[in-house]
Amino acid sequence: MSLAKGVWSQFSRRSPSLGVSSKALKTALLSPDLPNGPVSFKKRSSKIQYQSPIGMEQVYPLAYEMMEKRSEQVYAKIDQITEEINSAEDGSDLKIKLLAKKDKLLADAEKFNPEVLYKVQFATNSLDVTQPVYRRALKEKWESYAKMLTMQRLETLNVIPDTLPTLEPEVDVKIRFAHNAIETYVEPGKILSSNVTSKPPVIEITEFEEVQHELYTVLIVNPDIPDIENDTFSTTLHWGLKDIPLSNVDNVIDPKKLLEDETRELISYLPPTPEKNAPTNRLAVWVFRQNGVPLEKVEVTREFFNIREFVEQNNLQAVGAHVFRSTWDRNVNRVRELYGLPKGRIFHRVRR
Amino acid sequence: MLEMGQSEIEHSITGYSPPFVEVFTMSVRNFASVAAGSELAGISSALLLSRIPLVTPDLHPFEAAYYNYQNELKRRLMWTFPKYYYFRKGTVAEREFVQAQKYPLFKRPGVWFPRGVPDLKHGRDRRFKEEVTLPKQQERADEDDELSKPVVFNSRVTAADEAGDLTSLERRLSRTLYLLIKTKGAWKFPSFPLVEPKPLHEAAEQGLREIGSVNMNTWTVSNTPTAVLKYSNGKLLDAETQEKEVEREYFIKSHIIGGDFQISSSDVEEFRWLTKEEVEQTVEPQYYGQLGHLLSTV
Amino acid sequence: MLSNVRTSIIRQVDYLTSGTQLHFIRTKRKKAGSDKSEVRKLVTQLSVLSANRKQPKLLKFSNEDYVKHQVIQKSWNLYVRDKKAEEANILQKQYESIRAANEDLQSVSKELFSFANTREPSKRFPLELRVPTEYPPNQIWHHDYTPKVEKKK
Repeated sequence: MSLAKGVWSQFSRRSPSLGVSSKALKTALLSPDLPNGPVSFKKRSSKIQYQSPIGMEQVYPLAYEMMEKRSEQVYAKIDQITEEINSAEDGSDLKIKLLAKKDKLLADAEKFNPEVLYKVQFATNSLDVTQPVYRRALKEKWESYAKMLTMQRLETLNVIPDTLPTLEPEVDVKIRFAHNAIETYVEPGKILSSNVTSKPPVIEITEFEEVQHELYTVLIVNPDIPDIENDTFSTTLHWGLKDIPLSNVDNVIDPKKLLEDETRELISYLPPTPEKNAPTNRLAVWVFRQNGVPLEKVEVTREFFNIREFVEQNNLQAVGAHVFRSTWDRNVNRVRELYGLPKGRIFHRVRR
Repeated sequence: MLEMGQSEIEHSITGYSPPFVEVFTMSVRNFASVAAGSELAGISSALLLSRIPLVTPDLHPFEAAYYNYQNELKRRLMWTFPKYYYFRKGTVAEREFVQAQKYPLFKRPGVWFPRGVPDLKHGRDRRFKEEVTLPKQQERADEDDELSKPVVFNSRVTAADEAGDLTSLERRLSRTLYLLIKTKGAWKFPSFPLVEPKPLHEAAEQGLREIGSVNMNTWTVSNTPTAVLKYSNGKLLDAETQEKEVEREYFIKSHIIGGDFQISSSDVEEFRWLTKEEVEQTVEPQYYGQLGHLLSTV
Repeated sequence: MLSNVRTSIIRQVDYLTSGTQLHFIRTKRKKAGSDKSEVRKLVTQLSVLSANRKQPKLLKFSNEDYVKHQVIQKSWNLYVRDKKAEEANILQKQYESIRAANEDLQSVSKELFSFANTREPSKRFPLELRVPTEYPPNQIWHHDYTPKVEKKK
């Protein structure tokens, strides 16, 4: 017998992703006790040994009923706001405000649904990002660790302010190099082998607000190329992408997306090939939101690239960043050959 | 002494501005010197006489279930009772205590425990809560000793509850009861017109004893009225009314401590002791709307 | 008993009880039963305060039960919050009502107003009012009350 009798049992107006798909799990979550033992335990002996805390069986149905009633009240409010939205003018400030409020209420209505709670905590790989409640959960998770880590690495490695003055992160940027079968994201600030970085990365941009069709610009810049003539370092543009259409669901920049339209690649990927004995190179990945406006007639130079000027000219807003590092290793020469680059220089302690 | 103090004060304030002097002198004037003037006309003093709860409030089912759940969690996480500290080894007390306990199964080689291998420390399975039984309770339960008889509690539901007697002060022990009387066919809180200039609470208390009986012990919470109702020609007006020519009814809060209300006036047709919800169903909706917040939900 | 207690423990005990007359002197091992009861008492007392062997196993919820626990806790928090808000609302209304009644009384009759606001320093809470208990007393209500006849001075 299921506890859900009200709004949380109806999937006609709610997305089916707001419920768990496994029948056994659903029964476990929507019964006062665990009729078939804990589903999350795999071993049979652990299942038999497990005992639910005493008293939970009595209080859980009441708690569930109360939370469901609250959710029903929130849904009644959502219905009101939806009517207001329908009567509001398209593109007006009021409508934007109401839409934001509706999103917030939709997340509130489902936040303490046990099925949603379960998915948010224990089935994070299959969250439906079209639902505000899951987007909020992802945002909270990102803010609790990944966001802080990224900012810390950007600041301690002086990517801020060496490339751009500052950043208010709004999106989660994750990158992945296709160097082995294991799909692991690069931790910000990690020193990668030049073999790994020899092919362009796959970039995943997670938006936490609702995004239907938005265009993004991505730049990978390296501010650590030695400029001996001026006794300084110069910035090189390793990869430039523009007008990449992304949404909440389709949020990955991979070769397939770039092949769809070749003008999206401002400048082709140049793998980092640090010089021997030169300092470790930082490769800053900057992500800009274009607010729906495509970039027109953009010309970039690979060497002596001025990223601040580029951002100002094109009126871009930085929303996320990532950084990885590269230092000379014995794969560099192979990578240079692969891309037909000239032989690298070797630096010495004393200038010759 | 008091008179001296008053005259001194009056003397000392003669230099102040007139309005202040007026108010102040009025407050220290004698009752007899006040003429029973027109300003008292249309003022009456009503009494919110309540019987406070005699037993603790009934728990909401959710509260009861939640407290039980938390209590069980607490017991599960409690340290084991250190028996060796309270009972010395080899004493009679220790033997009695040990005999009263129901110890869990201990681990034995070659035995399969479907609920998991017991983890015993100091005679307690550390995976579960510990049940401690006191030996004395067990032994003396069947003796005829007057002192050691098990305690039997009185029921929270009384005879008045079962009989549905609305005039009894012994009904609904866990709730605050309010006295309602029926005069001229309408249920209201007792209200008494002010005939002479005397404090509102005194008028209310005196009036109550006239319609009820003198055998009542009451305690007025405060001299200050807690609400005012305005009437025009016997019709209740809104709280925000701006009308000047109105009759006023000031409410004084009081508790009954002992004795019973017994009708001793022909004006009172009936009386009842009712809880907040019952008051709501008995009186006029408009009347309740202006007074409902004064009544206790407990 | 003492013979079983290792020297290191006794040293510790000695250190802890340096305020008392208890002193440890290294002597020959004694037979069981001839222990110093004060030392034994202290060891027992200290072990009562120690979690060693008395602490229960860690409480481990399965994922489903953990979710249920969260729902229970959240709904309890909301329940308490609503209840407190409702109480505060009623108090606010009562305050407004008292203020309105007093302002009205002041405008109608200054005299009655001053009566209503005179201080009563000698007023005491009545001792006869009972504190609510879990179960009612044998005599629920004191029905046969008669007022005391006041002596005239």
